[in-house]
Amino acid sequence: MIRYIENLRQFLDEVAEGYKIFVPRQRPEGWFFEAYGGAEVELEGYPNTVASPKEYLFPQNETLYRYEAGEEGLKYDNETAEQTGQVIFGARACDCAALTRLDQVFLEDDKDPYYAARRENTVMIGLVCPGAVAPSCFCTEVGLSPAGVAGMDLRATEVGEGLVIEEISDRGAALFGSPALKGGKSWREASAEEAAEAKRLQEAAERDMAPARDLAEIELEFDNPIWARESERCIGCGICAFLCPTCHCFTIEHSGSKRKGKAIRTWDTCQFQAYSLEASGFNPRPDREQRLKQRLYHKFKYFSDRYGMLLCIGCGRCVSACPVNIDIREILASFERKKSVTS
Amino acid sequence: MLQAKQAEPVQEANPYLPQSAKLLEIKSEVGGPRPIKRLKIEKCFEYRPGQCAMLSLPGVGEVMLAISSSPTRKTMEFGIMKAGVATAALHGLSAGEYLGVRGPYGNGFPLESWRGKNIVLIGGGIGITPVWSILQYVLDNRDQYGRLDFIYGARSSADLCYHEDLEQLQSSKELSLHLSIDVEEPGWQGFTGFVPQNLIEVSPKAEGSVAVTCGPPIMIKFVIKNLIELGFQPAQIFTTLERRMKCGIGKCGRCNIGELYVCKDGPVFSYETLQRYPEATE
Repeated sequence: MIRYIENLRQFLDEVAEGYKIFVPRQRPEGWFFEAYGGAEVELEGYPNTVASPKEYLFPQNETLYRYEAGEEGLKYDNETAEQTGQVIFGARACDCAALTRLDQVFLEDDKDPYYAARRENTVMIGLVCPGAVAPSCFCTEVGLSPAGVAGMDLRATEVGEGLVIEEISDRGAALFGSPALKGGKSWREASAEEAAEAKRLQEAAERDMAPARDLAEIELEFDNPIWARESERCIGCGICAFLCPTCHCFTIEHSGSKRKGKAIRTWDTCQFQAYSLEASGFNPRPDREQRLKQRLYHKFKYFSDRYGMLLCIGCGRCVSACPVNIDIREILASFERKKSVTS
Repeated sequence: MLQAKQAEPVQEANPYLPQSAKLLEIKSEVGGPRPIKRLKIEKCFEYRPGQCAMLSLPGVGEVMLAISSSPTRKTMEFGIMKAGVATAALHGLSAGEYLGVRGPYGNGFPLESWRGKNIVLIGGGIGITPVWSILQYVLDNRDQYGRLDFIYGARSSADLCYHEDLEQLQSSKELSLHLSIDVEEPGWQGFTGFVPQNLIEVSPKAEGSVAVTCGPPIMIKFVIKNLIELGFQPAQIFTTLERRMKCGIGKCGRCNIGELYVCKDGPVFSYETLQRYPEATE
């Protein structure tokens, strides 16, 4: 069924009876997901959030297990991920698509129980972009769409004063089957005109972002002076990876004493020198050149070789946040130019 | 024992959770600035020769190590060089203490497909550990394999790991042992020179053989070069790789070579495979 929600706040209040809700809100420093808390959600002028909603499925820090040393050995207590359902409202199509990448990593064999539990208990309500929402947007250049449904459970399109909501997954349908929403007053079936207008807006957004190039087609070269040139100004801060909705690398460290403590998982990045440094002193990627190359190769070759999709969803966060203006689109395009010259 | 039984189903559900294992024996193998100790623990799970396990100590952290014993033996063994924080802490353990173990990780050696073949093992220093699991496995399944050559060397005789076992194997008819040390020492009976040179000295025949090498990167490089000279094809040459690891299950990202993860798709690779990855052979 295609539904129409006239009053977003009324809808979210009904959802809040059974779920934790996170919504985009504007702060002086940009838009961020925040706990809903009952206040009006103002979508006027919403581009995308500074940080993607990745942290609600794969937190920056989380306890994996607790340990305790005793006479009879070591005791390990599984830290189970929270089971409460959560709804992420207003995630952009790129950030929803990012979850389909994280799914490959965390749900393939040797399932990650922490991510899996959260993913199962999270409903993603994606919000269709009106077109490119920032100069750094390039989802259509990596084969995605500002109105795409990948990773969404429900797709919301701003129509009139309200939202047209389409069911994308069983999880999305189940939200409307939940007690608070089943006989809910916050929604009705959308009219044919409303549904048609949503479709028109989705198509207009795609037209607005018609891609000039396909970055999936570009062939990187391992031995090329481009890497040295581009990495020369990299300061290795790692902001590209920490804001990236698909970067999934992490470290596991113990916190506590020898008798009692916990193992904590924390985001990590290939951009840090110590990331691949071995205790022997050997480092397979000792220089920023190799580390920048690793990041792009992982996103545009290794991941697609392994899982059949790019590890970049074109959100542009790494481009807009980089303090020294490294632009992965430009790096990729420089290989494209080279290819067209040589062919 | 109760601990081990309880741990099994939990670990199935949670690949990050270690189980408690008792240290049965700890023995110094090599002294000096880069000491090596041999740790024997309860057998925590079934595994294949060449697979790895993540050992941990509470409050210290984890380290991925090759299991140096064959699964045909009753206990699990590790040869550990003191290099970082975790290995230093493991060196400080005493028999009867407990450590955390999870695994097994990685592919292991394709020993089933090597049946009927001659096995040439070439190790240097602490690189003995993964090839030791093959050595034990072949000795325990002696009729299934052809000739067994073990070419092993270290800087000096004092740097040779597992020397007590090596002494016993000297007289064994089950294998040919070819030991070397880098520089001359009074009374040394074996070869003097680097491992790749000893390989040429031994000159195992390539036909019907597989060669496995593990040791310092520079040694591996020249061993492979010399194996090719002896007529070995890249598909007959195997090595195990090391990378920093945190998860062991292809998720934390740091041990990749191209699209492969050393923890999951390795650590055993044929030279035929490695040739395709510029990062691995640099």
